[in-house]
Amino acid sequence: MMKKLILLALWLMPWMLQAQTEVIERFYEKYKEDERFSRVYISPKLMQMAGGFLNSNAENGDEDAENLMELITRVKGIRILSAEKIGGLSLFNEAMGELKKGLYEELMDVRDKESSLKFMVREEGGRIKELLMVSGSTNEFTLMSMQGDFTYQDLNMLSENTNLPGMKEYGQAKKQK
Amino acid sequence: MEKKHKELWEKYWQGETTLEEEKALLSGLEDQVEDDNLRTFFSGVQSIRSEKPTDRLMPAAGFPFRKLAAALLFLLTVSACWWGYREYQYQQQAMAYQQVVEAMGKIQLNLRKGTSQLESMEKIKYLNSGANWYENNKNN
Repeated sequence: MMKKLILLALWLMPWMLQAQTEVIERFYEKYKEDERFSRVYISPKLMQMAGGFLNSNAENGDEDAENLMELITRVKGIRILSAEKIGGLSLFNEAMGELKKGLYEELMDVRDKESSLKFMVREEGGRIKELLMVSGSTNEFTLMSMQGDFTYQDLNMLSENTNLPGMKEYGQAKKQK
Repeated sequence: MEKKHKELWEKYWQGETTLEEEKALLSGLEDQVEDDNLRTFFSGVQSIRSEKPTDRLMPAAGFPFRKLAAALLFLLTVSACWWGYREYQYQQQAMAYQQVVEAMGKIQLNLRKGTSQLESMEKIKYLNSGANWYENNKNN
């Protein structure tokens, strides 16, 4: 009897996992038509192209570029759903309600009066398969999912690397717009 | 003789003459022609017939400007296409990189929101060790 239950649980596991990830998809689907929302999907192919660009433009011995390159090769895709001029706190709570806590481990939770931010990770065999970031404030909301196969060290690098190659130029270009 | 000649003509019109008979007919015809122009014509034909083919060298081929131009045009077209494709690919890569950097930048910014709060915790840790050191020294 016990064996049968274990087998059944193992058989159902992929479906359960899929159902969990579908929650994010549902959230995307629900708001993708809303004009206040902007949706970005960086596919594995696009990640590969970005890696190619960095590889051909980085100078030899640029440690920041090498670190970023390593991270890019480990990331399989990024989904971003963001909205401005919107009640982000209620959307934050809605997203939290949709996400089943069992699948994601909480990494960081920062809250103050006007904003909530949560980082969650989905681990498999000690490696991060997905980093989920949900942030909501009184006037904006962001849901971001970075999928791949990376470590906490990679996240640390991302957090500590103050000079992402191209970030400064990107910021300047955005200001000019 | 004339009778034989007539018979040959009959045979010719019936399409039954051999090549030899036709030659005999033609030679007879040339003899009978009285007009000087025709006589000149027949003698010309005769002299052409007597000419034997001689080996002549083919005219030397000139520099193949057309082939070269075509090949050059083809190469130019191919390299222009290739260059255009590379440029397009580079633009696509740059756009992809920009999006990735934007996404990573967002993650970084938010990760720092949390870590900046942890930094203040670090300061408290050092304050605590200072207090311990003071306590230890006071006891000694």
